[in-house]
Amino acid sequence: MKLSCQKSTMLSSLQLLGPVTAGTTTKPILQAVKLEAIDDKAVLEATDLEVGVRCLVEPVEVQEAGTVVLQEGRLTELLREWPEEKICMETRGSMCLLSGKGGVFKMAGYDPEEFPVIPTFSDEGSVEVSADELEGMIKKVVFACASERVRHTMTGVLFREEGGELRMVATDGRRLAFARGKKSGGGKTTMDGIVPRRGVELLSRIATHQEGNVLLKMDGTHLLAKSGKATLCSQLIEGQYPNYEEAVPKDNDKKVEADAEGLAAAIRRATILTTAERHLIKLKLQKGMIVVEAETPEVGEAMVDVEVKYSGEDLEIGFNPDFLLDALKAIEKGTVQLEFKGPATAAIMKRSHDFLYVVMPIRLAETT
Amino acid sequence: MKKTETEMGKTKEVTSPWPLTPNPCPGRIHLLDPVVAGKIAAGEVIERPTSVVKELVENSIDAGASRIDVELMDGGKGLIKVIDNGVGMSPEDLSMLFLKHATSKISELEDLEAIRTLGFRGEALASIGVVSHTRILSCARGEATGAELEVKGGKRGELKFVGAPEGTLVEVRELFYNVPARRKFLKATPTEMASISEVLTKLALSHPEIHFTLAHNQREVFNLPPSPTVKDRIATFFGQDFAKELLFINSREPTLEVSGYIRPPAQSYGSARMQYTFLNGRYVREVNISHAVQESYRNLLPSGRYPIVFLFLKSEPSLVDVNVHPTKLEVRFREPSKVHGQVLKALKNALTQYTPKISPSLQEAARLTSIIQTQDKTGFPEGLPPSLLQTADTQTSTVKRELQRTPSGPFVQIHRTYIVEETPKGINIVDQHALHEILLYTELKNKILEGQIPVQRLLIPELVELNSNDFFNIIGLQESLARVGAEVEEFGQNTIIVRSLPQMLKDLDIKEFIKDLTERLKEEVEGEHVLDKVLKALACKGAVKSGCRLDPQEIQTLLEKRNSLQAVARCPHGRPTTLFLSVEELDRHFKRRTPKG
Ligand SMILES: Nc1ncnc2c1ncn2[C@@H]1O[C@H](COP(=O)(O)OP(=O)(O)OP(=O)(O)O)[C@@H](O)[C@H]1O
Ligand SMILES: [Mg+2]
Repeated sequence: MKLSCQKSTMLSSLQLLGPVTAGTTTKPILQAVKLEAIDDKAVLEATDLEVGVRCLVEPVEVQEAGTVVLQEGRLTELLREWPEEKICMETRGSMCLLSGKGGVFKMAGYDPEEFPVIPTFSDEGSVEVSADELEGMIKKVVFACASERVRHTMTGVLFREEGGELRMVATDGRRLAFARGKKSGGGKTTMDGIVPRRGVELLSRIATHQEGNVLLKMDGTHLLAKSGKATLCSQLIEGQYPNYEEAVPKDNDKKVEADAEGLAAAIRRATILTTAERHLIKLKLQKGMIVVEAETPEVGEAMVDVEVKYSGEDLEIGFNPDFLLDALKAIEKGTVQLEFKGPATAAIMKRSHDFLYVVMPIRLAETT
Repeated sequence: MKKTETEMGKTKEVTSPWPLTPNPCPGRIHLLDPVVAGKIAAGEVIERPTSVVKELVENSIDAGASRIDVELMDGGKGLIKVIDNGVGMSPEDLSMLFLKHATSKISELEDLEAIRTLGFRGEALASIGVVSHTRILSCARGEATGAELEVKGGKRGELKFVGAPEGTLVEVRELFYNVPARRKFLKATPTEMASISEVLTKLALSHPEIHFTLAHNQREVFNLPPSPTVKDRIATFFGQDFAKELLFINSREPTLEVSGYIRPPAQSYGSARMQYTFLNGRYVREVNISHAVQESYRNLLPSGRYPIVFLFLKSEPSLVDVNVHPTKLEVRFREPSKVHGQVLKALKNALTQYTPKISPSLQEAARLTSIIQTQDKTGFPEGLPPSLLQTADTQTSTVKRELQRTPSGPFVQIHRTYIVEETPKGINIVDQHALHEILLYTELKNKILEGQIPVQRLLIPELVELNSNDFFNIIGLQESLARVGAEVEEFGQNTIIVRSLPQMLKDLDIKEFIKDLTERLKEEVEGEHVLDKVLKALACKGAVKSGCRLDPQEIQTLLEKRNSLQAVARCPHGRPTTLFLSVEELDRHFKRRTPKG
């Protein structure tokens, strides 16, 4: 293999692959990237076996086709330190040679045959979503995934195409976040699978760093995505995702409208007087007002009034403040609609059509 | 019948030289000669609904039934009904029933020395008839009409001739209606059900060829169609995955055959409860067998763990005495040491041939653990079992000295299992799981003492499927579970639904918790309250596991919490959480201060 290109071209592609190799510790070859030169283009690849990313290096001059697999960390560092704008890389046996004003470097490579194969992307059967839309959706749900330490299917995000729109769901069994997004194009496809959290985060990263819309599709065991020069392939989590529609209460009749930022600020302040073992605040609904309360023995009591639109009956309901703040953060600005029923049933938080959040209350059980 | 291992997991059935299947035509029921009757181990056998179920089903098995249906109301306190399709009884036989020492199973003294049936005393129905309202309907095989007889409080009614299907139906109502002392001490329905289901499990395991069903309050609890092999029946009770990992054992000598299945050492149990040992189709507890089982796994199991085995012994009936105790649970072998030796050898053979698939990292972890354990002997004074109902801050001051609590210097997680932390005088090696476990346990207990615990309701409640014993055990615990914030309810057949959990257990695997709890419930620990078992199970399964990466923030929180609580030197099981190595010890090891000799 022999190729030359701008240093920045190679580095910007490497930047996308960094987070993939960073997560692996088990096999050394997974900390490497594969650089393949074919005819007039070059491709970089990295994988941790769960997620794989491929990125086109462009523009590039290929003098001789071929493949080399190099340790990602060293390669990136060396290029950052390289004094010239232009670089030239060439294989010498199993080594890769990089020389110029910066010196002569021969780096040991891995056997390309041992590098895992990453499925390729074809546009056929994919849907198109704008990068902003996709990132926005991911941001609205990804925080609600279950921790890696428990229930496996809930550690990922459910992607589903339904009713001509894209849906994402994440839940840890205590609260659930649901986002809807518009498709910008693309034909008929069936998309219904659980994408591991890492895959979702990398997808968001690629959408941010690449230009143009993102193409998405699923093949039964993988999510495949393409954006600009990059493609991503993530394994899907096997198993049955909980029925999220069943988890959304249908008859919450106590409806409140509040300013998201104001409510979040009040909850944050009240939360200061809670502890890790008793992480609990109370919302007291009254006409035109929510009182946010915290009461922790040995720590103190807090009471914050928040003006809201509400004309229903009084209600007192406890929550884990983090769960409320996560949703308010996803909403950012504007009006949040809150819907309650009783002190022991799920509450809803939502903004217009694109975001819905269901959260279960906390109560204090008498232990005696 | 004998089984021989042919290929992988496949077994071939071979007939046994000693037919134990009951005489298909049991002969007439007669009163035993007083001399014979006098030789029978006498005593109270009907203590609870379970005893009735056991006696009735054993009678059905002795009658050669291929299907036995058990129906209960209110844990057997309301009704116990057993229906079989066995040989049945003629009206004349029926008229002999409910008399003491009326049996068709033995007649001569010599018969007592070679018992081939489950029953032989002619006492069970008589005893049941005295303390209940019982109705029997039976039709002998090949006859068109049968007869019916009722007895209440020992008073027999008239024999009535009625049409009936072949086989026998026994209904027992109002158990102990005339023995208030007994009636009062009957346990709650779930407890009685757990016990009945355990007894039926044992009977069903030893008779896989029989179709068993159990219904409670008109709902099916289990339905076990005939299984071709014992292994299939084990699978229906304990799951396919469980059965898949079983090791087959077999050993045959002229007078004794030992066969069955055992679990590899990696899958042990917290008590001896999962040792199902059967002799000639009867569940027995016998010291020589138990000892041989425990002995064969010696050094393969951590202390406090017990092997899981299903052993079926078949012996020449004359070489074992069943007439030892009225419940027939105890037996005496004529050559106990031979039995011991043969069981031990059979199990050892299977265990030595078995090669576990251990990943290198696990081996490494095991090695590390053993090193740490050896060092622990010198690092910690033994004998500090945490008394569990003790409140957190009444522990001895020795414990405090052992732990270098002064807040954390630099720390690092190693092998995703231990935290190594610098202290002013040396280093602490902390077992992350054990420390987290005792912290959670202490916090949960403190919350309970405070009287309030924050409970997170689940949006997606978790369903847990259990076997029927465990199901009833857990349902029986609803109140205790609710006290710590775990709302558990029945959800259809043998399934429970968990609707809420204590807030502080963020990473609790609910299924594992329930499983762990069912194990603990079967262990008898002196003076341990069930609530304490619940707390321990919650703490154990809620704590971060070994092998789990912790970020520095999490480690920091763990260590800080430790500093704010007392009595954290040992986890709730009494294992140490921390090993302290002083700088002096390290110096000594590296020969820093020893002058050159
Ligand atoms: N389900 C049944 N089918 C046919 N015969 C039965 C059945 N149940 C009881 N019998 C007959 O009634 C007799 C008395 O039963 P009972 O259980 O009281 O005594 P046993 O089985 O002989 O001895 P043990 O007291 O040890 O159980 C039995 O010997 C048997 O002949
Ligand atoms: Mg009997």
